[in-house]
Parts: sequence; C-alpha cells; structure tokens
Amino acid sequence: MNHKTLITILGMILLVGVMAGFVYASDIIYIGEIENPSGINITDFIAGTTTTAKFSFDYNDNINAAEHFPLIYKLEFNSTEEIPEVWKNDFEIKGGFVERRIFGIGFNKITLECSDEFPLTIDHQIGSETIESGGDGTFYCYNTTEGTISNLRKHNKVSLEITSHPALYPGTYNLTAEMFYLNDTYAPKLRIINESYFDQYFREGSYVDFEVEIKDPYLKDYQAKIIRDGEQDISFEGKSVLNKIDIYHFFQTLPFISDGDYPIEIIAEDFNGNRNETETTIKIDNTPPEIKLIEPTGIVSEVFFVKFNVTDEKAGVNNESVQVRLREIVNGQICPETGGPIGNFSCTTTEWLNLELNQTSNLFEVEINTIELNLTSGEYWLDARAEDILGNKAEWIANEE
Amino acid sequence: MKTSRKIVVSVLLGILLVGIVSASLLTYFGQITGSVEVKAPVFYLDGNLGGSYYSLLINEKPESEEEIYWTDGETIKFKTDALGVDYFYETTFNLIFYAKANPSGNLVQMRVTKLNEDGSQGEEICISGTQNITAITNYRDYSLSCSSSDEIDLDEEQGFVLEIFGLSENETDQYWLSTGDDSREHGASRIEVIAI
Repeated sequence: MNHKTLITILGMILLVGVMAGFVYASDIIYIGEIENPSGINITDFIAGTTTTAKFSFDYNDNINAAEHFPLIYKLEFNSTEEIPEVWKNDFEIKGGFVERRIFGIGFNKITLECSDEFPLTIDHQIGSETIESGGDGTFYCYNTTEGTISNLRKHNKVSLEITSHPALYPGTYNLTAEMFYLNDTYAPKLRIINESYFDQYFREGSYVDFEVEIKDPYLKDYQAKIIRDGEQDISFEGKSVLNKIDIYHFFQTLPFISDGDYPIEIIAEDFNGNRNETETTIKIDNTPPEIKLIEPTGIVSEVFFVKFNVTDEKAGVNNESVQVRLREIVNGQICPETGGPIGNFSCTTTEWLNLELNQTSNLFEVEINTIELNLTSGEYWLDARAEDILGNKAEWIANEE
Repeated sequence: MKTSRKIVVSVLLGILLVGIVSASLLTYFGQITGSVEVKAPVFYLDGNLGGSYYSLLINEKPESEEEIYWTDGETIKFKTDALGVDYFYETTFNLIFYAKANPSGNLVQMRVTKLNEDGSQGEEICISGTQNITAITNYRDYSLSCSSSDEIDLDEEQGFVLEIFGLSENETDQYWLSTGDDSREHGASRIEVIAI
C-alpha cells in the first residue's frame, strides 16, 4: 500500500464518520428563540394510560436570553374540531426532565415539576413569580433549585410524562409548549460563616481569613473590605473554595490600623446587576497590657513574692507571657541582660521567671527564693514583661533592693 | 348551557393570563406545537374471580388465560375498579368475546351497569341485543354491543359492571367464555369503547 492510497482510505473513513455523525444528530430538531418550529413528539396513547411528550431546543441561539435559564414551560392541551373541549383534569402531566443530549447521551439532567393548580407560585433561586390563573388543560412545568444555564446550553431535550383519565374523549388533541424564562431579580444571598470569628481582636500582622456563603447562580463579582473613615479601604483577597459550593474564602494580612472597631463590608453582584451586601465588625487592638507592681514594696530577704497586676482591656493578657527577671547592680552598674560579669566584678542576672495568675487575687505572682537563685545581698533591678494574646508587648522596669 | 358558560370563562382567563405573562417577570422565549391522538380505553375481561365479580381490567391485558363456565339462570359479572371520573362520554360498549355453548344455538345477552362505591350494582347504562352461540367444541369470536342514551354521570368512586347471561331458561344449558388469550385472531375478550 503506497502513501497516496493510505491517505485516500483515511480520508474516506473520516468522511464516513462525519456523515454518520451528521445523520445521527439530524433526528433532533432544535428550535430557535423566535422561529417556533413544530416539534413536540408525543406518542399516541390510550385514555387512562401514560405517554411521553418530547421536544428539543437549542438555548444558545439568542445572546440576550443566554443569561437566563428557560426553566418554565407552559403546556396547553387544546381540543380540535372532533373534540368538544378540554376540561381540567382531562390530562395530567406527572413531571418530566430536561437534559442535554449529544449523540444520544444525556447530561445534566434537571427534574421538572408540573402543576395545573392556580394561583401557582414558581420559586427559583433567581426570582419568584405567581401565575394567577390558567385555562383548563394548562400546565406549567418548571425546575426549582437545580440547574443553571451554565450546565444547560445547547442540545436540550425536554421529556414530559403525560397521563389522562380513562374517560377522556377519544380523538386528536393539540399540545402547545411555550417556553419562558424567569427574569433574575434576586440579589446574591450573603452569609458570613462563623461570624463569631470576629469576636476576637486583631492587630498589625494578623492574618485575617473568613468564609462567606454567596448564593447566586449568576454571580459576577464579590469583594470584602475594611472601611476606614478618611483613609484608604483595606481589601481582602477573595477566592471560591474548592469542593465547597457557594463558599468563598477572604483573607488578608493586616497592615497597621489604629485601635478601634471597623466595619468589614462584603459585597456581591450578579451578572444581571442585582447587588447585595452584608457587614460585620473587625476590632483592632495594638495596645499592650498595663503592668503594675504590687509586691515587693520595700526591702526583702530570703524568700519573698513578686506580684504584678497585669491587665489588658481589649484582647486580654496572655497568661503565659508574664515574666520577671532580677539583675544585680554592681558598683552602680546593672548586670547585662545576657548575664556575665561587669569588668572584673561578677554579677548575677536571673533567667526570666514565669509568673502565675492567682485566681483569687487576680494578680500574677511568683515566689523568689534568693538562696536557690544564688542571689547575694545587694541591689537589684527588677524587669517585668507581658503580652496580650495578640502579642502586643509591655515591659516594666524598676530597681529593687 | 354548561359548555357555553365554560367557554366564556376560558376566554376571560385567557385574557387575564396574557396580561400577567406580558407584564411580569416571565419573559417569552419560544413556542412549539404538536398533536396527539388519544384512543378510547379498552376493558379486558379477566377470568380470575374475586368475590362475586370477575375483573374488567382497564387497558391492561390479563396475565393468564381463564375459562369461565356457567349455566342458564346464572349471570357472570365483571367489574372495573373505580374510574376516578365524574362522567363518561356517551358511548357504545362493544363486547368482543370468545365463547362456546352446549347445546348449540343458545342466546346470550349483555348488560352494562354502574358499579357503586360499596360494590353493589348501580343503575343500568344499557342492554344489548342477543347473540346466538353456535360453537360447541372450539371457541369462536362473537360480539355484542349496547349504547348509553347520554353522557354517563358517575361519582369518582364508581365504575362499570358487565353482565353476561343466557336466555334459554333451561338450567342444563351450558356456556363457556375464554378470557385473557390475546393470541386469538381478534385478540383477548374485551370491551371496546366507541364515543358517540
């Protein structure tokens, strides 16, 4: 087999494949928005039994309609010359579905509910509509919460299950299906997940992250920012969360912001201009704890207590952070913080000693045993330090004999 | 009178509906049409006895073939389930059945009545003419028919009863009726409904 023959054979195989695909697909008639071609395929049936009505359409034919999902089908049974008239309950549409069908394979199946009871309120995630009345033999079929245009665009096929009572007058009935879509009038729904997260205080360098549930099938934009009077807003980064439907993660490492309470504004807007916002408050605390010496107040010996009143009005004291240290004063000089002698004179700098909170007195205290710490008689500097739970640091320095 | 009133109401509702649709959130997208032929129901005779009635199955062929035997002076009765409708159009009940008799030449007749909610027979809808059953050994197809005089008023819990009985008044005369055999030339024994 030469090269030319091989190309010819491959070309023929490709052509046959294309033709086969065309023939297979051509039995599905898609309708446009305006042209209204006929196309309800409904099997003749016996009164008292069930049949299926099918029709197809291509939703993407019209750009103006592309942002809506045609979720509402109005079905009307009409009599013909041989039929006296259609009465309520002559037919029943038990339900149906719409799905994408490509080469006979269905995708993204959406269940439809059907009703001929009026007034009929159709609630959907993008809007709501009440249809006050309808004639006998008129049904509305619609989806409620499932599906959006993003998963149904082309090659849509509707299938409806239709039944009648056994006393339905035999003959030919006409069936009309009109398609409507519901205008999007609902703004995105916003809900801050775990809003109690903002009960705590934050400070410069705090990594603030929170999640917001934003529900809207046509969500276009979302943002969150800290609003400051007279100063530039601080925006959060926002991303959708993988594997969590309608959940968006906002995060930011805070720059310096003055102490105070600030609104965080969360705004979402859909493609149809519906906008909603919600708000919470972020509390900023850059203020360190206040440290006040309670004991000792005079000369001490051997064993004594060191007690501090440490308070922090906002974020609260980090109870593990309250510490004291003694530094000996030798020849008028304070021992180095790192310890070691001053010239030829030895001097003592203790380690940082943890103070514990006395739940009764609400004071932080530690017992100093001068013997165990090898403290000789003399004059000492007393250093104290504490942090609030955000890490705002406070230091207190005094000398003590 | 009822029909004309209904038409007026329908027109008014139609106008109202158009107003609602065009002025509200619903936006028109497209329209397609189709038509469907609805055929009248078929009532199949089922030879399984339940109480004093056999069954008259609506649009459902019996699962098994049965042979019903009776003698003159007896009436075999078939009943439907409740039809769930409050009327049935003016109709001819056309019974197609397979029967044989001994002796040959016995006459049979059918009657259709309403079935009340409590299982008792209601008022008569129609009674047929007679059919001469000539077959003795092998079943043969016969037919009987009768027509209602008007639209049939029903309660939703009501149904139909089919009676078949002989007319010879000789209690030794025997009849056989075959049900559920759809392989026969004209299908299984059944009532076909024809709208008048």
